[in-house]
Amino acid sequence: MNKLKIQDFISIGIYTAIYFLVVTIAMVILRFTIPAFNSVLIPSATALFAGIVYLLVIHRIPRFGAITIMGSVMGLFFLVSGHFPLSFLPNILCAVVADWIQYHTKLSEKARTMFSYTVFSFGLMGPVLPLWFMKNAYIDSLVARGKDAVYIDKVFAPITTTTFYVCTIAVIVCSILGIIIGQKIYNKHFDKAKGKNYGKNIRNV
Amino acid sequence: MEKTYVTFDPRSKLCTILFASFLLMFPLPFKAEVLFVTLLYVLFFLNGSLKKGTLFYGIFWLLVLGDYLLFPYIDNGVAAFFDFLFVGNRRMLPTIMAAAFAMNRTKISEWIAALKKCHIPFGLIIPLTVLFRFFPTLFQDFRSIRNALKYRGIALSTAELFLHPFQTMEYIIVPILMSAENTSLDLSSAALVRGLANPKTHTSVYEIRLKIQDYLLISILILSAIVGRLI
Repeated sequence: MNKLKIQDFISIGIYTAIYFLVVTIAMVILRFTIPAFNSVLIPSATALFAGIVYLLVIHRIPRFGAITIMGSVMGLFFLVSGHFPLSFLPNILCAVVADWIQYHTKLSEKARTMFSYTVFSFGLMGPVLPLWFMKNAYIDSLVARGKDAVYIDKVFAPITTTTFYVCTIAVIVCSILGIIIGQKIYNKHFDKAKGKNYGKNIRNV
Repeated sequence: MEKTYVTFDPRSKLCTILFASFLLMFPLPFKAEVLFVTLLYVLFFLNGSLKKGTLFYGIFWLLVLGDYLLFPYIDNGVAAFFDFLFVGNRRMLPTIMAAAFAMNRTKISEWIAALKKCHIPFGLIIPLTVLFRFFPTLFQDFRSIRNALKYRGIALSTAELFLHPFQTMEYIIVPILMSAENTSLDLSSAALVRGLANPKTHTSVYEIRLKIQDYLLISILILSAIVGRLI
């Protein structure tokens, strides 16, 4: 297995920045269209649009480790900029699993890409996690001021389970759609325009 | 005239963020929470950004007040929803505040020097550096592409961008990705010239060293965590 070079690290950084731009755009669009609880839909909205970025990373840097680094950098960036400090772990875990699926399983190429992209998209579940903590905090404060627990359970039980299922299913459906859209865009713009050896030429400079 | 302020090491700032996110996971009693937010306010004050700190502190007390006013009407569904937003956002505020404090008056190069000191692998630091450095270029690209789109008569108003999200995505992401290939080539040659591939330890202009105030801050955090659990 050939190791990653300095150029590869730099390309990974740039693709991560673009991926992050997609996340930001998705966040802004959702914030304007859905007033509350919009963070639940961030992973699926990003999955829908970022398929092309993921495909490019796979095609340009076809080595084990690229996706792991991308996920870890996303996690570190979230940690330092403090948006969702807890999203560090899901990002790295999902990225490692996605990387492993991409390069160490014997599925057909299309299914492999689709599957690993779905797993990778789950890394963005980090922003959703605070919602659960928010809910727990709310229940705590209600209990502390003497509301009875049965009433609280009755009110909140459907909210969490439904949002969780909706979120999971939305991520799966959107990432499959996203990778199909991404494949179309890739064939339209990147395959013909530059020739298939373009990426290889860059790395041999 | 330059205002004088106490500077903190990026590593102790990172500790503050970590502490705040632990606070989110393992909630402390309300009194301890108020104390922690007040501590963050003092940190903002020491760091020379009184205005920003006051803003956050004000938001915190407004959220507390909103919760207090709404609480008697909780049986009604709408009030419960708003009360949930108030309490939930109050819980989220310390992490946001800690992160704002961490980014306040810290240069990106300082962050990178500090991360190097923490022995984060080299393969992670390079992409992170590129990520930080690439953002200004990215936004500039975004603006030029937007102008070009307007010139071609595509999505003249911002509303149209929202109406055709797929078209927007294709027209914005694809050009950025195209230019990204060239940018990565440029950046790698620049980085190689500046000796990024040198296997020896790199030096930094920024002296990253834990000072008295950093030790003080970290020990206060650890102490308050222990005391907060005991109360």
